[in-house]
Amino acid sequence: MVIKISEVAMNKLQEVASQEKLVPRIDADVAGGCGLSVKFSIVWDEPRRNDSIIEYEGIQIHLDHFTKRYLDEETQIDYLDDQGFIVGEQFSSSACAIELD
Amino acid sequence: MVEYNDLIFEISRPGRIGSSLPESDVDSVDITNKLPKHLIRDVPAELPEVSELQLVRHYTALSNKNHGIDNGFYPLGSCTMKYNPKINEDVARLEGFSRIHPYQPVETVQGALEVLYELQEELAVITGMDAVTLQPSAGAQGEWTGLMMVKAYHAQKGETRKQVLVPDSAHGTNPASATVAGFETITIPSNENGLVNLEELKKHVGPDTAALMLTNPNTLGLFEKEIVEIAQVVHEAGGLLYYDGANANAILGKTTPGQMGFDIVHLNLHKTFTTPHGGGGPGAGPVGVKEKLIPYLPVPRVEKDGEKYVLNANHPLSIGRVKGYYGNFGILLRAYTYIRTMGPEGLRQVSESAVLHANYLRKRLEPYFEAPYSQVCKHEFVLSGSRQKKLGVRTLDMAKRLLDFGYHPPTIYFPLNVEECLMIEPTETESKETLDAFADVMIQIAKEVEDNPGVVLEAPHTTVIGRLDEVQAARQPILRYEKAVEVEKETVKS
Repeated sequence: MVIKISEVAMNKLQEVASQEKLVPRIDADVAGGCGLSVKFSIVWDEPRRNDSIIEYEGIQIHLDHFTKRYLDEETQIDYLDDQGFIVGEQFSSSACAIELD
Repeated sequence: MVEYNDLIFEISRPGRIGSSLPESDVDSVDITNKLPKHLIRDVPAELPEVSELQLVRHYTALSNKNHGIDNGFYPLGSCTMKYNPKINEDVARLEGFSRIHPYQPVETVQGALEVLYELQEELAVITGMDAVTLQPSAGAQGEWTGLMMVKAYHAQKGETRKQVLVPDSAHGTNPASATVAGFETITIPSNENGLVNLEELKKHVGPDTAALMLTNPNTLGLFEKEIVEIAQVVHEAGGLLYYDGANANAILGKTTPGQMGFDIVHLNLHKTFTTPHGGGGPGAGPVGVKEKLIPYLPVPRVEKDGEKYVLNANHPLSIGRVKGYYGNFGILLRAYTYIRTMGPEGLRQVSESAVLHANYLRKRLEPYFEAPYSQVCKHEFVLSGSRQKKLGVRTLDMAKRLLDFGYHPPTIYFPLNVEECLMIEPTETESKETLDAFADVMIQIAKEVEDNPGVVLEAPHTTVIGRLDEVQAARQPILRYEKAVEVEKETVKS
């Protein structure tokens, strides 16, 4: 599994992390009812037990067991001023690619 | 032990047959001369070729893997998975009902028409409406039918109202039906108690409001106490009030949508009135209306003319026919049987027991899960798995763990306004022993999350197939069987 982070997303992560006590997390948000759909987002919260952690240039991004299970083989993170962090879309370029067991 | 897990296509062998037919005693016909070319297959359909015994074993094994209300507790919130009495099936199989045809002259099917007429009358009393159509073949089609009547009603008054208001806790079918019926959907946020935010409603109600769609009790299992004022706000603006009857199991014999101020109601017979669930149908979603909407009901309508029952299509303002024939008769017959079996007092007991059971289970489970709306509920209640989420275990993981104990999980992740939601509806037909056994398992799972989360994260352990990837299944569903060898060929080509 590979997590790719765009340069602008990485800069934003570092900017927020320098002011934030909580940790950045890739989190699966599930909508259910008669069927399930999963959206991924970046949230800032407390570490959870059994978290996986990916580290790059001093930033530690957490993800729980559930989120890891449902992420695509290749997940990309970007940042847009009007939409914030976007997880999972296909972007044109990325600053880094972190492999996750 | 042999488990018979192969697909029927995989056990197929060329030339194997399940029955022997006598030689045809009529001449064969060359269909290429009889049908247009585009309707004729280039290659024969690849149907499975199996013996009768293989066929029986295959489907018997498959049925044993199924989970239904007849073989286990099924607390699927908002779906009212209650026991379907077998007398319904007995009545539906009576030859006088099962061997009639919808094109028979009405003089020869007076008994069937009487059943439909009586069911219309009974559902009108149960809902507090003035007339009922039995045509829609599902709850969602009932919603659409109701909304088309809303549109026709406003059009007759020379108005084109474009907006349908729905609370943020609404069933997904509400905005979907409104969209299909050509309306714009406006979402009304709930207040901190999980109820319609009256101030927000007032902000959005106006001359463009066609209707407000509401479920009461709502999807959190909470009764909208301000329903009379809600109805007043909508009516004063010229809009109509639509009742989604999905949760009618909580109010039978206690109150009616009519008393609450609603103008239109649909009912899901498979929920409240014990007709079979699922499997893609057949279903039935009757719609009741107040007097001012009667002219717009679908035709033909089942009416009584003197001592005779008739099908009357002579209603010029009707929205027309919404279903082939007159609805799914076999399903309507089962619901009629249920209502007649229970009687008014029986139906009242249904809602009393459904509410009692839900509150009993809620009180047993609340110490172990977050309860975002901890108050007396109606027939169902919601819990949140947010406490367990902080420990790295999600609601879906706990739902999968329930499978190990033979329970169908509750509805999860709905309503959408509750984080890590578990929505539990035990129904009135379960015993206290079943409720206690389920509560014990839920409590055990909550403890496992704290002490042994791995067993929950990797669940289920006892099912034929382990954890499925529901997301992958939703994104890239494989809906058609293809032989493995053909898949390989396609892969090589691409």
